[in-house]
Amino acid sequence: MENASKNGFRLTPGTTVIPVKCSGLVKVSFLLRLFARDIRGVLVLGCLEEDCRYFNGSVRCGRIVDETRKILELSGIDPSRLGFDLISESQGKEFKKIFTRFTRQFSKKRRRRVSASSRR
Amino acid sequence: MVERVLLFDEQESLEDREMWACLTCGTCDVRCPSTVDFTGFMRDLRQQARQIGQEGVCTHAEVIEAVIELQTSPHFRKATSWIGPGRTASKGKDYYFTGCLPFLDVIFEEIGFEGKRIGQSAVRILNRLGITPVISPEEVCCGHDAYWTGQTELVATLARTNVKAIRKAGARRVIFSCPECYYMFKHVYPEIVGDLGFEPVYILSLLVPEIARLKLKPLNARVTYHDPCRLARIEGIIDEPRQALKALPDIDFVEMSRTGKDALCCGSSNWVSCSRVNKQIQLDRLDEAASTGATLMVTACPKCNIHLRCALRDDECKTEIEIVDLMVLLGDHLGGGKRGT
Repeated sequence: MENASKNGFRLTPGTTVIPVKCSGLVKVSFLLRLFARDIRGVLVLGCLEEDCRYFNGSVRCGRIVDETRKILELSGIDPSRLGFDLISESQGKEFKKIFTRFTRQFSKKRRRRVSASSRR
Repeated sequence: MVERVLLFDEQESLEDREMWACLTCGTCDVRCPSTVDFTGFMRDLRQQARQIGQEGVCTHAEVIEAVIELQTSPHFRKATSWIGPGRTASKGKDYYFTGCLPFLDVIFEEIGFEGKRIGQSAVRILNRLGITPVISPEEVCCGHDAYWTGQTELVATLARTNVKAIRKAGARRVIFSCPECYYMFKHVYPEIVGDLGFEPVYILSLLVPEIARLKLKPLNARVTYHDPCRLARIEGIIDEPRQALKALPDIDFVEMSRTGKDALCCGSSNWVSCSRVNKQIQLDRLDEAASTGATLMVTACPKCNIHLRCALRDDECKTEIEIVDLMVLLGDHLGGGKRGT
């Protein structure tokens, strides 16, 4: 995110960044509780699988996101409101692209957005 | 635990993690010669602990608690399409309460638990009995686990939502295949909302008198039955599941040494404890089932199914037995219908 900021990227108002040590530490319960609090969308960003310092953090995160999406779908909540992507620290432009693409779906209704990220 | 509460500092007692280890299985209540309601005592204690900010001990990384909280969101609408090809309605006098079955499927996919099949089988059985049940997207979790872990406000919210959804559907009778949901509607909901305006009915009380209509196909296997705590010890529904099983032609039904109100618990309840002690209880129960020579262990509670299934995968488990839900077993052996209905 810092890399993207250097290139003029600014977070959309209403977005909150929640830094975590590793995306593999994000829990299904944590994500579900955000939706229970009527958060419009959650974008989970993690390191590329080959960059993982904790062996399988990104893979684990992928599984957690999949499980959460299945639960959201059963709950009548659009699973696309939970975004997930893996990017490298140096991919500032890519970060901007992912973020813009994810937030575009909420642009019609201005509501709170949250981005949980293991990237600083 | 009782001694600690009576003799020591109240705050200290409420912070004691031991209180979350109780299975609330009801064995103490059944055996106590002075009819002490020990499970009620544990529940009250947990309520007080919650009031001072204790959060209890959650298993499965709190995911089940979070699913329950999600169901209190105003945007929650439970999917109903998974219920399958059986006949269902959006309004009518008979309502089938599905509970958390589809969610448990996602969470326990790894151990091969198939909650959706329980609901699908129950609907097919009800269809065969001439009942087209209402399935509503507006129903939420019954709140059983929240009730036994002292979350009174959450239980009240869930109870009001459920009763409103069922009344809206115009139901006069609510049918349950889950013993815990049945317990909540029968005993707890009237305390919260007063007169329900409908009658909670356990599926077996409809099924057993008309079991001949299912035209069950033969099952050539030795089968034993595990009594769930809520069904056997609390509701006293002990004979009905056995009658349903014995209606399967060719079945070789055998009992375990501890059955009915004396049955051993599945080892865990309310998703609050999963220690080595819990696992040992589960392993003991599996050994008991296997010692009868049974190849199939039937249970009527989705949670017993999950816990015993999980124990089968434990490194220390030497038992080989298949665990199946009563509804699924009966549903798979329905005979004489058209297109499997």
